Amino acid sequence: MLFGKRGNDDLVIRGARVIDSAAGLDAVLDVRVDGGTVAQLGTKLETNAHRVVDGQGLVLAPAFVDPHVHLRTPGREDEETIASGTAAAAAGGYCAILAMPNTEPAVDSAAVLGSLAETAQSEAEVPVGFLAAITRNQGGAELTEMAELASAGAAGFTDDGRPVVAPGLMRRALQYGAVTGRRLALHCEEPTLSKGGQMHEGAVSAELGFEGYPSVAESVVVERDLALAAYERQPLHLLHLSARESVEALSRAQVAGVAATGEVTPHHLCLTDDAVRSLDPNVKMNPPLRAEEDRQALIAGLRDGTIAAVATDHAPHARHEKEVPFEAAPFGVTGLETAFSALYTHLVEPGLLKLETLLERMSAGPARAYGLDAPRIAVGAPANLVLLDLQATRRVAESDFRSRSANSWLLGETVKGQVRMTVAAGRVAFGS
Amino acid sequence: MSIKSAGSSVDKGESLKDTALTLGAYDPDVIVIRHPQIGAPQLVARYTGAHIVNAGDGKHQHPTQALLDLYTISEELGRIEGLHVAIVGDVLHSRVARSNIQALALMGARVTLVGPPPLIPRGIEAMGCEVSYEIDAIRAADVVYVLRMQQERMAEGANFVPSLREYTARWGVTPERLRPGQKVMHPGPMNRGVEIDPVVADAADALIEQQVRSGLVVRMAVLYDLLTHGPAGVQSAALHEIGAA
Repeated sequence: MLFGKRGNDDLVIRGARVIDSAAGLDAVLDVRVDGGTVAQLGTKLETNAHRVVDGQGLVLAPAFVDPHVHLRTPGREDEETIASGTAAAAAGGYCAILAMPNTEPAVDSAAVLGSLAETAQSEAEVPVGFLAAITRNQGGAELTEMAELASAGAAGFTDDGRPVVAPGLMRRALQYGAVTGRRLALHCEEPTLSKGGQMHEGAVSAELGFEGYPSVAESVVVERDLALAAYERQPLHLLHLSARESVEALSRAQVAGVAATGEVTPHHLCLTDDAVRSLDPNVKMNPPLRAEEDRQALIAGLRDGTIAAVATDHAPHARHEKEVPFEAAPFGVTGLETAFSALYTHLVEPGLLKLETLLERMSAGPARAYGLDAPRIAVGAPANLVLLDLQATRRVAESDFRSRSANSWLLGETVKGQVRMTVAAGRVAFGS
Repeated sequence: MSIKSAGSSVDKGESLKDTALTLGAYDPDVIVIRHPQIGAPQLVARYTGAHIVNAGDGKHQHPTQALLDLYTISEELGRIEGLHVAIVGDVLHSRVARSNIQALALMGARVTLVGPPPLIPRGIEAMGCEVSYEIDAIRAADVVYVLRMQQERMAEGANFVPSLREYTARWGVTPERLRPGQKVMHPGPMNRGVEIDPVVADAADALIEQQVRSGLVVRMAVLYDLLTHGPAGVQSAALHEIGAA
């Protein structure tokens, strides 16, 4: 299900604080990688003439998995390509990403999926899984050939960017989950409630005069889809949750036994609708930034595990498309290269989230949500490692991005926590 | 020099950034911009060195309208602080309402918004005003500020109001709904017989023509200040005060 470059690098990382909470591991250790596989953990390990990386003062953790990336290929290669997007992912500490199918054309046939997989096999700096569309051309009318797409390697199914509006069609798609064994990932938005909406509906939209996109436009569809999943006894994954009511609904469904997972983006965890006062198109995204009480509910949900995954919803846009008034700008911001730093700075440093929890929600959490093997630091596991410098600070600058687009909400901000090296599928994909 | 989008390069798909760069190349002292999108003046300000006057950006702000309205009230009633102003009608789509709420609250007036629920934006109380869905609420006000019912926004199927007929019956400002001595204002152009009864519009207590006269002097004053006080700091500070930035 994952396509990209793999490696058999030999490496010893010396003296880093090794954290893998799933394995109950938090100790200063050396880690040796033989032929792309974790071979030994211990102190004063033999280097066996491997390349040695000094990890003193740094944190070594299972590398990140981003379950929500827009690679814009095919169709908008000016904004991102498989090569540039995965280079950005490697720089962000990711060892695997999942790409969304809302391309031009959409990934709605085995032919399109096959050609992307082939390109990724030779060009992707970190392995990529491709989600396929639920409906043809994401038109919301006819199901794609889901069984065939699953056989061709689809990592899951989504119409991301658009909701599946018709409940009857949504139900059929869920039923096909029993055949494909892949998750449905849902963009929850009731279009007559969000119509024309530019930002969260509340005091800030009232003052600025923007048309509102209320929380209930998301939560009403979250509730519907959870009810359908419960009825069909199928799992589902909720994309980019933004509203307190959605987190509450997800939690209730999980307690009732529905196999539902959810994800949240760094921008929804760090910002509120107050940021829109800047009128900066780089804080315009769908779903929109919501109120402080929503942000707090998202942080609490991530902390207690209701929300399993951090997802960047990395959405590159051409410069000229964002250099316009807010209402004329497209939705979406980049995030691959800034996610860890943003969350370390805004959540871990102020004490809102433990480092161990953040690392888990950026790695094992998203992997499990899609039934992928979770990256681990254990003997015999493929080397998927990220080396982090928690002391380093940097000013986020356009010139440092590997992504082809620079529509980041963090431009000019100083952040703490820097990725020093990424090993993905046994290969050093970033850093030295 | 007046530039309209119709017939200009804007019609040919020129971006606002390029229009700003092009106009900036003529080295103007002041650019006055009215634009259907929120934040357009800020964008133009980023790409030119000229002073920018916001003459209305989408549903966001109309700062000189608020200045001329405050000037009119203060000339007529001698003060603004402590007055009660009722703003009636389509607040949702009104940049005039937003600038006036902000300016009146800043000057210490009490503001009550009156209209049908779909036309009063959720959460607007945070700007420092009250909300009522009952037209009777205007009787307590010193000034009744009537907003234009924008018919183009009330097209069939939009469902902000079921019909203009019902709106007028329920929220139209008529002589019966006013008490003697209440001042009535309107930013124009009026829809007589819709949001405002013609008898109210023509009554002695209506300040609508005074508003137009105030508009001339206030806008002259804005330009005078910008052209004489020089540096951009003065301009941005002044416009910040009334919420243009």
